[in-house]
Amino acid sequence: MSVVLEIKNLTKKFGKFTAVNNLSLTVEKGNVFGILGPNGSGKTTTLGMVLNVLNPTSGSFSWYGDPQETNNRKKIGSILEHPIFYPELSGYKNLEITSMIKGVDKARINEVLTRVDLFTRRDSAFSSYSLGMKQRLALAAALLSDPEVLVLDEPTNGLDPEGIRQMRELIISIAKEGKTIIISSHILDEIQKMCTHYAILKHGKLLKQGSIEEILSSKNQFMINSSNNEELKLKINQHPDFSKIEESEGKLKITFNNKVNGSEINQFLFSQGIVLSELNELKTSLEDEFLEIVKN
Amino acid sequence: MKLLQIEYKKIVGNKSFKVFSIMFLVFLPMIAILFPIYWSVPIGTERFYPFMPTNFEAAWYSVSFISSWFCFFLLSFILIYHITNEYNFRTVRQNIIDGQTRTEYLKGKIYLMLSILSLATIYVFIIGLIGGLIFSTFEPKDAGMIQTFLKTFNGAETEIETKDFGVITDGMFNVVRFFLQNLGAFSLAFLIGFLAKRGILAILIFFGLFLSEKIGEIILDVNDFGFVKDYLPTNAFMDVLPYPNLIELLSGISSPDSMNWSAAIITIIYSALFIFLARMLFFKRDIS
Repeated sequence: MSVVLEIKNLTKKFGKFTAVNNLSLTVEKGNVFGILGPNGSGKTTTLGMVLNVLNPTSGSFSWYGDPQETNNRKKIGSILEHPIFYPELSGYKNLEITSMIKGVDKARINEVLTRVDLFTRRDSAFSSYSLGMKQRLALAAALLSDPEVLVLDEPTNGLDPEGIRQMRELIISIAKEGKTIIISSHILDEIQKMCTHYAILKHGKLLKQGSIEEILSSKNQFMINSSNNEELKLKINQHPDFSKIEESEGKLKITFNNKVNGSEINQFLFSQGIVLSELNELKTSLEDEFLEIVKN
Repeated sequence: MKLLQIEYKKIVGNKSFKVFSIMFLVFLPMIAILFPIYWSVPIGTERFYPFMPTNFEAAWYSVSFISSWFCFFLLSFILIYHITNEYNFRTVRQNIIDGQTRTEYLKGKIYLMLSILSLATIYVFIIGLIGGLIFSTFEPKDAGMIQTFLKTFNGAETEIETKDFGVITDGMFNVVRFFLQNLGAFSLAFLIGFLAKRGILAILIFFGLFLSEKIGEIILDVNDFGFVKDYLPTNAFMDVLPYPNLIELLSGISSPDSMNWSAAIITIIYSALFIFLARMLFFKRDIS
C-alpha cells in the first residue's frame, strides 16, 4: 500500500487556543478515511493545513511522500462545507478558472457539468444557483482534474435528505474507482456508511484511529428479555465470554468479549433453566463506540 | 501569461470593474476634449479652453494630470475591489486549494495591476494626442494679451515669456510621469487591499492615508521639518506629477515643471516596498 497523506506531529495554535494538537495520521491509497469529531475538534483546521491555506504552527505533512507542496494539490479534488465560487460568473466560467489553475483541458468542463446534471444551467450566474446546485458545482470542480484524492469537509452539511443521498452515492461510486477519499464529518452514521478507516479527534487531539470493520466486529451485544430477569442476570454471569450487563427499558443489554451467536446464548440459558422471551443481536454502531471514546 | 488570463477571466464579469472602467474611459475624453470644445472663452484675439492649454507641451501635462485623478478615484478602486472581493467571496482560499501556489496567486495580481496601469497609460497617451492636436495652435501667444488676462486674476503685473516650439513630442514624457505616479498609488492600494481584506475598509484606509499624510506634512512644515515630507510616500507620488500652475498652464505660456527625479526614485522604491510587504503579509497569514 502506498501512502497518500502522511501527517506528522501537526500543531496549529490560534493565539493561546490550540486547535490541532500534535496530530499524526497516515492515509493509504484506496482508503476512505473519515475524520470524526464534535464541532470545534479541529477537523476543518487539519484539512486547511494539508490543503495549504492554513500555516501549521509546527509539524509537517506530505502528499505522496513529497514534502514539497507544488503541483500535488492539482491532483486533489476538494469539496468544502460551503461551495466557493465567483458569484457574478456563470457555472461554466467558474469551472474555466478552476481548469486553468489545475491545468486541465477545457473539454472536461462540459463532461463534469453533465455528470453532476448542471449542463443546462451552465450559463447562469453562480449566485442564482440553489444550495444543492452550488454543492454539485463544487463536486464538478473537484472532479475536473480526475483527481486521485478527494478531500471532503462536511460535504453533506446543509443538504436536504435527497441531496445527502445523492452525495453519498457519488462518494461511494468514486471510492469504488479505487480513489482515496478523506472526509470529515460529525455525522457518524455517514462515516459508518461510507468509510473504510476513521480517526477520532477531540480538542485537536487524536483519540483513536483504525478501520471501521475492526470497530464493528470488536463487540458483541445482545438485547434479551425473560419473565425472570433477576434470575437471568445471575445465570448469564456464568457465560465464559460474558463482559457486562446493562438494563434499559426493562430489558437487558449484554456485552460479550468474543464473537458469540444467538443460538449459543439461547442454548446456554435454556440449559440453565431460563426461557427467553426475546433475543436480539445488536449491531454495534460507530456512534456507540464514538460516544464511549469521547466520554473517556 | 496564463496567470494574467486567469485574473482577466475573474475580473471581466465583475460589476465594479465594468462601472469604474467605463467611467474612466468616458470621463477622460469628456473633460479633456468635449468640454473644451463646447465651452471656450474668447479673450481678445485668443481663445482659452478650460483644462486644455493651446500649447502642446502643456497639453500633455494637463491631460496626464487630469487622468491621474481619475486613476486615483476609479482605477485604484478596481484594483482594491478585485483584491478584496477574493477575500469577501473566499475565492482566494479556493484558488490555493485548487492548486495555485501563493506565489502564483500574487504574481497574477501584480500582472493585472501592471496591465491596468499600462492600458490606462496608453489611453492617456491617445487622449493627450487627440486633445493636443485639436487645441494646440503651434504658435507662441501674444504676451501682452496674456499679461492683461493675468492682471484680471492677480491684480499685478507679471513677467511673461511666451514660447511654443510646436513639436508634438515635447512634453510627451508627462505620460510616463503619469505611469510612475500611479504605479506608486496602485502599489499602495495593492498592499492595503491585502491588509484590509474588505473593500470599503480598504478604500477608507487608502484615502485616510493620503489625508493623514497631508496633515502630517502641515505639522512637519510648522515645526521646520518640511524637508522630511519629500521622503513620505504619497507626497513623493504627487511630486512626480505635481499640481500645475493652472493659470500658466491654461494660458499656454510656459512649460510645466520638469521631471523631479528624486521623487521618481522614491516612488519606485516605495512601490517595491509596498509590493514586498503585501507578499510578506500574504505568505505569513492564514487564508481563512
